[in-house]
Amino acid sequence: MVQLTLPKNSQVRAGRHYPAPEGAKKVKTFKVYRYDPETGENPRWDTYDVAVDQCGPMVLDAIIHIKNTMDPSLTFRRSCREGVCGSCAMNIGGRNTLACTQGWEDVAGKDVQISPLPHQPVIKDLIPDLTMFFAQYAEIEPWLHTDTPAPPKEWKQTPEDRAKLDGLYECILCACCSTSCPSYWWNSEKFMGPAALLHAYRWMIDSRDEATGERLDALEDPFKLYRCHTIMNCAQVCPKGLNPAKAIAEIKKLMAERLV
Amino acid sequence: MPKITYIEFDGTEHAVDVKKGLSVMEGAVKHNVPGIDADCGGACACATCHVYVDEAWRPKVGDPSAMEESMLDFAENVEPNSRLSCQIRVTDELEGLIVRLPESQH
Repeated sequence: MVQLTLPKNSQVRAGRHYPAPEGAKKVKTFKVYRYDPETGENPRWDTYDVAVDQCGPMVLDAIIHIKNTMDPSLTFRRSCREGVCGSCAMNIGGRNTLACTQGWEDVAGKDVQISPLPHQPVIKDLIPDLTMFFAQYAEIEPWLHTDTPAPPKEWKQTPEDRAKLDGLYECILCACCSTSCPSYWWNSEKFMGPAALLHAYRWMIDSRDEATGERLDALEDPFKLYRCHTIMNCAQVCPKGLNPAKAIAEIKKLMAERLV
Repeated sequence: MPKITYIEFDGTEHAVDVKKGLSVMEGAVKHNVPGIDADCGGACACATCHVYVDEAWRPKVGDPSAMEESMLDFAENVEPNSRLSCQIRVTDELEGLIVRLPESQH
């Protein structure tokens, strides 16, 4: 693998160690990335020996336990704690996933290492700045585009047409896929990334949408769509089991079909 | 250290010494040879380190594996001497290797 060097102010140093409370029956060590821009200090790895017999089975349970009982300064996003909101996406044991659906016992290796989603600016600790990610989602205009006047009741769709949205509508925009994609790491300003493209396809194949041509036009450049090289990290990490790479391939097929 | 010559599409030559054990792709990236992107970092997963192996060197370099061959389907202007340079390991045997780079990796 190519070795890249981090800038000096990004190099992660050893941090504080928080021992387990006395009487803990089962202890698991969590190594957590910490960064506070207000201190001007480098990021650091803090180590928490967590009494896991006192918390729930998921990584999110463990870090909430850390925040409640060991270190209230630990900062992370979380909301639904059941894999439907996408807030607690982070890199756990080297893999992007949701802290709320990842059991700490199932993380490979002795200790559980946690860092923010890769290749995004860090706001604080485990919170990445996803401004660009959501701007790209907005750019694909994720709503129904129609010229036909709206029907008196709802827009109707056959069960078969509705089934085409399966495997796409479930995306919760957690950003695990886009931030695991090397093409997105190197060109995140220009390449839309797997999540935005999966959503673009979700609207292209919606039988009620009447703007497929315009949607394809909007992606017709060397970067937005075609920087996907089917590396497939997106499909491998998606915590909802979706396959953004396949959706991207389908868009490429639509592009090719309209040329012939 | 084996010397490897990378020839860009416009004919610019880069002769660099590459440490044994690295891949031909890593040799290019480490010496800032333009024209090899290697988006995936050497995992045989993206076909952006496509090179043409000089005809004289083909027997020594060998043929691509099945996995590399299926990945090469994603590269453009593939020729019989096309290889993904992340999959060519540098050895003493390859002293003097010449590879040519395609016009674009994307």
